[in-house]
Amino acid sequence: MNDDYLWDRSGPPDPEVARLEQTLAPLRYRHRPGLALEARRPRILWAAAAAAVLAAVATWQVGLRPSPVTAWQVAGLEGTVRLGGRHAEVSMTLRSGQLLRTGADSQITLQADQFGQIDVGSDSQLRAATDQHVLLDRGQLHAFIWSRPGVFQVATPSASAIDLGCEYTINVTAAGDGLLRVSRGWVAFQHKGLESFIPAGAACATRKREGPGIPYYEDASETLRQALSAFEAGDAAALDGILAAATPHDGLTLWHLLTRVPASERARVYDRFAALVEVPSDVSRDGVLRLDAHMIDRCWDALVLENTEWWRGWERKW
Amino acid sequence: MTPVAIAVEEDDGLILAAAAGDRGAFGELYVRYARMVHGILLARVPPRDAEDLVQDVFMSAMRQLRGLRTAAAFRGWLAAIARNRAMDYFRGAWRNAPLDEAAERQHGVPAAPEDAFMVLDLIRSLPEAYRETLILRLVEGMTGPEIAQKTGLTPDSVRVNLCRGMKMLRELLGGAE
Repeated sequence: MNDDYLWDRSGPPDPEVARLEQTLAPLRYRHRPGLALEARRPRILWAAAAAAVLAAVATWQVGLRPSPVTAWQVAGLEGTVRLGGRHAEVSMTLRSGQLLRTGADSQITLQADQFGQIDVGSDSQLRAATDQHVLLDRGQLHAFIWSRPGVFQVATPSASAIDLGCEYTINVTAAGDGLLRVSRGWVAFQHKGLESFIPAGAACATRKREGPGIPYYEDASETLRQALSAFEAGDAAALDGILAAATPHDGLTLWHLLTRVPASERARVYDRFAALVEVPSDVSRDGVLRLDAHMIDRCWDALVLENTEWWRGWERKW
Repeated sequence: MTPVAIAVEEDDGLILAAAAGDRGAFGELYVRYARMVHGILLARVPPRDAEDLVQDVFMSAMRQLRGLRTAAAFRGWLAAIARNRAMDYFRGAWRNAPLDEAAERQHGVPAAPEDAFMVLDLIRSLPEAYRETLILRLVEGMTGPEIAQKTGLTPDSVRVNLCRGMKMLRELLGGAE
């Protein structure tokens, strides 16, 4: 018997080699989720997290050479774009874990027939973990998604954006902070139990290690936006400014504040919310103040938001 | 261009980017080279610790990567770090771990049957060059061309190591049965 199978698995399988492969397979390298590098080396968090995330990607790649392709293909590009260490070209396919980088004067459009279209702006860095999950390390991503709500996600260093049937833009700074602006439909922004729900016409900032902030409509008053920015930067006194500047249109912002402010401030937020939004009669103030899930849900209903079919299937975190 | 040549070119780009401080590129190198590092470690240390040590090897590599002069040197250099880390393992506190062999082997390696450890022990008894190459092929599932590309060895050397190592392993297995 020749050694072709032993060499590169070509030719008829050598029964003994095949048996040994099968016997030894349980000892093969695999990533263990509990073994995150960041837990062992806290001073190099970001690099470690990147390695750990990519090592998780490697879990899916064991036994596959080269790494699996995703559904995302290059549909168009301007300037020089690097994909997996090579120059990107139209029709190239993103492989799982492969790095895509645009330069100062370049951009690229990716398409996946079943999911949608992504435009990656200049000075950006992105990877596709799977068909449904991409990671934007920095730069700008514009997504127009046509897969069903809840399927497609964009992870950033500070929060993950879950598509709820929509079109949106995410910007991520080199520091890992981000801004999400929704132009159609809805997006949920999540990080470690914190959630923000952002409808068309609204935006939401996110900060590394703090997660998504409070959404606001982009046509909200400048006073409210400045107060919100100060509040999210740690100025607790800015809450006064938010409450004073809020209009009925800002009910969405106040609803998010209900679950984010300290318990001692919740009554003030709810009272302002109830003054601006027609709260159903079965909603009790006490229930809201103790964050009763049903009461918070009813307050959401009171906002009378459009296109929220996804809401009924959402797993509540409050 | 062959698939291996394309992979080498891709890796070279990542290595240069990582050496210039690109952590994302380093993360991708981790994905691509983790099996090679694991195989080298597994040729020397208990399976239960090999996976932990893979991370140590990459952390060490990340700290030293800026000093690397050429992309071509990366492969042999990373393999050398892995071998050194395996040697350190036996110098350090690790060696004081409990010696309940059966329990120790199973720890962290669920569903690995005793046959797997028996065959691994036989492979480990082979000369070093054969031992590493066979583990990369039979345990990690890499092909010969891939082993050559990842370790920096010539394809001819890998082929010789595989054939001679497999011949010796067959003899050992014949004796063990």
